[in-house]
Amino acid sequence: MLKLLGAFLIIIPCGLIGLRLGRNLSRRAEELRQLQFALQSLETEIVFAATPLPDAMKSVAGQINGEISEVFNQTATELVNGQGQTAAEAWHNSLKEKESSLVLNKSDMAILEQFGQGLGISDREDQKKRLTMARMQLVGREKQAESERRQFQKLWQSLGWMMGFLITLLLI
Amino acid sequence: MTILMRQTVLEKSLTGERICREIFPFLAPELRNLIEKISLEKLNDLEEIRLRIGAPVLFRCTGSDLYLGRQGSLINSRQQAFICTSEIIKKTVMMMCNCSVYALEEEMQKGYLTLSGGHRAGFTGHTVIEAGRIKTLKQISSINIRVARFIPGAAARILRHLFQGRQLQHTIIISPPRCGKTTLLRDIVAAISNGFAEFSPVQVAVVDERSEIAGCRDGVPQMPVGHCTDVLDACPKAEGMMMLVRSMGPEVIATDEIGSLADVAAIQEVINAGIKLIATAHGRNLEEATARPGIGEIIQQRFFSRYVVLSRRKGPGTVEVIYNSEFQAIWKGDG
Repeated sequence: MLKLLGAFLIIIPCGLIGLRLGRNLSRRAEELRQLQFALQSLETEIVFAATPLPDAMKSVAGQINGEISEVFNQTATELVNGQGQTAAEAWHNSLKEKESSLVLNKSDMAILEQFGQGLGISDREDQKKRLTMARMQLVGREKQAESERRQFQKLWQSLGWMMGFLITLLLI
Repeated sequence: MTILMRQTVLEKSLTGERICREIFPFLAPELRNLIEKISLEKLNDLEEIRLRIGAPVLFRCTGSDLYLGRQGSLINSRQQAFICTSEIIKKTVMMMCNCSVYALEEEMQKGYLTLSGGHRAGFTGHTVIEAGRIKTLKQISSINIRVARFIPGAAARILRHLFQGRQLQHTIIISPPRCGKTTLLRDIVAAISNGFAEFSPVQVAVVDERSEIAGCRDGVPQMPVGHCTDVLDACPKAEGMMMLVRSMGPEVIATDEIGSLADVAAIQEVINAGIKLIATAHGRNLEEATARPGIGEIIQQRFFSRYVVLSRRKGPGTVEVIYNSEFQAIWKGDG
């Protein structure tokens, strides 16, 4: 009986870890998709409506879901209550603050950081170029994330359970 | 007696407070920390703040030019002055345009923007030319922040001289820069628009090409310009005057800094429509203004019946003399 309980205590967490790792793969693809959508909306706000950044960020945050929306929301709030930070700084701070709840990897974050450097500093034409460039990069990342998900999601999920069984067997 | 001296102590302290509230939040944090240590009284006389990369931060006050010290006070010596960096300029520009340079493309093209409260920030830097016209400014190297003053009663002494009987006369204010031309114009507009003494309010329309008279932000005047005043913000003068004649049916049109040939035609139109005109022009005195192209022609054609000449002899806003349509002095102002 005790052995059975111990086995459960090993198998279930291992399985859950596998599930979670697998889900993170699809979450990353989803976050990258949301980001592209967000940048697209931001481009509309900036290029066609010339909306000031705090308002534009707020409106973008309202159009998307999840943690990405929080990053935009946070940037807008920082800019509104700003103590003199530039858009780049506000964006950087928000990214840092939300980093732990995002599943994006280091190089995804690097794209976002780089994009933030140019936020609001130039005319519409140049902003459009910057936004388009960041979006193109994100499209590439999303493709890669998607293929990773296809390859590894199932693998991680079954691997989790299998590792659990294996450890149990070894211990028995 | 100067106009500034007429400004009461209360109004003076309000100027310092307004500067703190309306200008300081747009400065880079490093600069703001230093400036916060300056006393309010000193700020009351502030006319301009000049920031240039690699140069001391200059505060131009009435009567003296002071530097911002490294410890935060205003000092005379340039050696101890705080040196402005390109980072400070960059940040200040970003603050002024709400981190959205793209939203202010037209302003950048013209080289200035208006802060709420009507204060003016002018820029120089590297101009980007496209098809022979200035497209935008980048790599900004200097900023000049001009404090907008509203001095209630600035026009009170001279208002009566601008009337013949109960008829306001076509008036032009002639003065070099920084003599209170726009301040005086604004107060005349406010006075006739609100009505004064036995004169009832009249409908005034303002063509504010450089957003200096009414200091509009998002189209709303930030300066008190009177309750019967319509403001056409950021509109080219000549076209704006024509538009107002047709659309708003004003009794008086006021505009700043006339002088181009296009203005001459528009002024003719306004005057022929039976609308009274109040305008300003650059020039040290009447002769000098007459010698300049554009404005000279306007003066020679005797469009105006009152010429108000300003100087800084006794502080900004010193009224030197008022001439009538025959160029005879009808009032020797602060002489």
